[in-house]
Amino acid sequence: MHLRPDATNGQSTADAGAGWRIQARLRQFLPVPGLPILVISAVLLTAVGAPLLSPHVPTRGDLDRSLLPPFWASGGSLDHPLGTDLYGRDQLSRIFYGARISLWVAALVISVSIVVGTPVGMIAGYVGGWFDAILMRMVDLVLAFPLILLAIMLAVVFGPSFANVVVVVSLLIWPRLARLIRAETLSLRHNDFVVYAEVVGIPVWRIMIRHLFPNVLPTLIVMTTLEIGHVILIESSLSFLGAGIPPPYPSWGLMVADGRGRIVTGWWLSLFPGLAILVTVLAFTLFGDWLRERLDPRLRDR
Amino acid sequence: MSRLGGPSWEGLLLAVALLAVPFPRISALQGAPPPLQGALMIGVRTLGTEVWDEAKASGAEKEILQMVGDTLLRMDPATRELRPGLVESWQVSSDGRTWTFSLRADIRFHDGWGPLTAEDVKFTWARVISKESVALGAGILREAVNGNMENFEIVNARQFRIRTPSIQIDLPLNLSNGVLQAFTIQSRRYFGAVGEERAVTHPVGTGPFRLASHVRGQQVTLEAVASHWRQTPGFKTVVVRIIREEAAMLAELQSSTLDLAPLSVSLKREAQRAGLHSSSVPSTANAYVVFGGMYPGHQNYDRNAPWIQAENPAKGRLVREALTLAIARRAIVERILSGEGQPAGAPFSFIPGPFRFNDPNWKVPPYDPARAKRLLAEGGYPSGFTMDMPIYPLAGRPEVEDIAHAVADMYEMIGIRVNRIPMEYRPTFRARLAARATKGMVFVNANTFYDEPAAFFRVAGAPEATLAFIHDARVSATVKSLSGELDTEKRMALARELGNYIVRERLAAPIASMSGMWIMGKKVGKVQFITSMATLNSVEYITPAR
Repeated sequence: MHLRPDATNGQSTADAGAGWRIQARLRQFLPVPGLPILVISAVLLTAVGAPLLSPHVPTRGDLDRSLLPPFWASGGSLDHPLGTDLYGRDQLSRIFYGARISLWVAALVISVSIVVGTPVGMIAGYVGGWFDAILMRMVDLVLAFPLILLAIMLAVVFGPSFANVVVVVSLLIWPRLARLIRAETLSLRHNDFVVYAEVVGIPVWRIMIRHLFPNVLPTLIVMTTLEIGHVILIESSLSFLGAGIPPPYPSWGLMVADGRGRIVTGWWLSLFPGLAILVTVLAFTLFGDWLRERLDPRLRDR
Repeated sequence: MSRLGGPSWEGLLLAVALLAVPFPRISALQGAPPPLQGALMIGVRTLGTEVWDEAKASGAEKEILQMVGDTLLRMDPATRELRPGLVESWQVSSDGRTWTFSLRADIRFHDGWGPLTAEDVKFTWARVISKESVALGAGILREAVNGNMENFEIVNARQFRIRTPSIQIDLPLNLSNGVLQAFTIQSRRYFGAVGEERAVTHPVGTGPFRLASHVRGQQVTLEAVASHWRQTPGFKTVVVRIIREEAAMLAELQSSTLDLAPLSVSLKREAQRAGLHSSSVPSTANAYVVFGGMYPGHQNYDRNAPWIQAENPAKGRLVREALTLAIARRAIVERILSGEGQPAGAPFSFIPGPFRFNDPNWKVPPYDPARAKRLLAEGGYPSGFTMDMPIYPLAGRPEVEDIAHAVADMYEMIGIRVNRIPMEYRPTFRARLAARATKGMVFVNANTFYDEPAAFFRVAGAPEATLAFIHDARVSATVKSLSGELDTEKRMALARELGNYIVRERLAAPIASMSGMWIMGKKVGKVQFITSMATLNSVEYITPAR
């Protein structure tokens, strides 16, 4: 059995078994996740460059061009390469702008979650005791809440909106992040460098910022990358249900919902935004997995 | 997310939860009886509370009640003229306030519960207008007897008399099967013998069907009554199934597990591509644009709204005309309504069609965005203005939301900045209408068919109405005259005069009438739905295909 040092307490740990061997093989063939990086770059470029790339205004419709198929189908035209929706809005432009909305939601949600979840997790992990217990029970409470119902309730009372989506999805993500950061903090809490810092009288806040935070940062980076895909999926789901981004804004989830009753006569309405969701979420997930492999010292040396 | 180096237990739990979600549904399906051979399978989106009680029926329950029971009067399906039902004749006194109804002699309740008498009518009427009643037609029936059953006189076993506090020319209409709020007659003897709880779960009526079984939340099975006095049904067994999703309904129609179902007209092409036939019910609703805040004298009167401009009403009218010309009605009918409808020349209850309250001079406004922009400029808004547009789905009319989005696009094309505000009709937007809180808003609405235009304005166009789209002194005065006019021809002339005023002043912008659409499978031969009724009706007249 191959033994390796554990970063937490210097004790050796054993291999996890076959799963690790398969992953190690994969890493041999895929040292750099070229395709996911390419896709993520394309999505980012699309989101940033949507106004330049889009052939049409995404929210402007023309009923005379309603339900045009993609250009390769009979009745289609290159003027609307991926076809149009019921209101005559260009699907390609809406997919481009949809990338903007998805990434903007993801950026805001991840930012809020980091700002809230990281200190909560670190304080809970460092201080421990009843303080940790209270914070983690709060986290459990939020995680147990049916957030889809909350999203729908907010949509009914206030109307669906961008703000609702950010609030609801942030409520889901920050506790997950807090839990993970807490676990990391707990594992670092009793390391020598932390103990020494306490002994010499460095204030707690300084220990957390100067000593602990840089060590939890790799985990934070990995988690946020993985969560981007998750956030995009949740936002799409909420929009699909009518509790997310309101029309006429081009959310991919909303576009999928618009096409669900026209699977035969308007197959392009759901297909292309659905593919966009799939490809984007997969790319971020694969990239996050790769980052996890690279940044976790326990996995990197395999 | 996956924890470092370990399996994702959260992911596994989520996957198990997601897999478990279909199981309750599957077990519910397993509990449902298998489809019956030869039965007519009808899909509906809802059956309301699924309690078959006229005093509690406020919506879809009435579809079943009107299969098991009969209404006092009936409507010719094609012309909507009133015909005898349980009542074979009726008269009104010269002052218009005393109605005498004579019942047919040969009507008996199912299962040996005796003949139908005037006592049964009085019993049902009293239940419908009771304090506990939430029935759809409760208000109308209460108004008819002035809230007091002393005004319901039983002359003899087959005759009864109603004294109304004022002329209520649409009373017979409200007792007919052509309006959803009509009620069927329930047996006083049956209620007394079995108790209310059993009577409303196992209803007995005089209709062409008996309720055979009911699986709550799933389906109702009805058996035809042999040799019914009015019409023996074409199918011996009818199963009405609840299917909430339109896409699921379409799939079941394609696989022939459903024979008949309503679908929104926007799915017409989808149904046609699947080889299914459709039957249209014309003029089930009229869609139009409402200009908010038009409540002179009310605290929420929006006197400075671009479409009002109380200090300069001529300019306000120009803006309303601009908003009318900016709408591409034919495109809406063709693209959103799939051709199931026609462009309208008048809004509110003046639904296009061969109806006597319509005036052929009400032309469909042309689509002229260039002229609309000029009129906006003449109205004082050369750079357009900003408006809020609440967009809400209406029950049974999902197309209205699509029309609203299309109209918003058209307004944006002439330079108006539209803030689309998605919301629910109940309770949110309805509360705004009740409070007349529509300042700065322009919105798309649709109403069902009204045989008597005055009836619409009494519920949606009068200061004293619960909800109102407009307050207008001349409209109120004309409606008052209409309501007191017994002669049909004079009444229709007054209705046309009312319509002329509304069209001329552009108090609302007409869009289009909408048809209802029923999709039929191969088993169905002919259907005979009542014109302008969007709900399930006349099932006994559906015949099997040859």
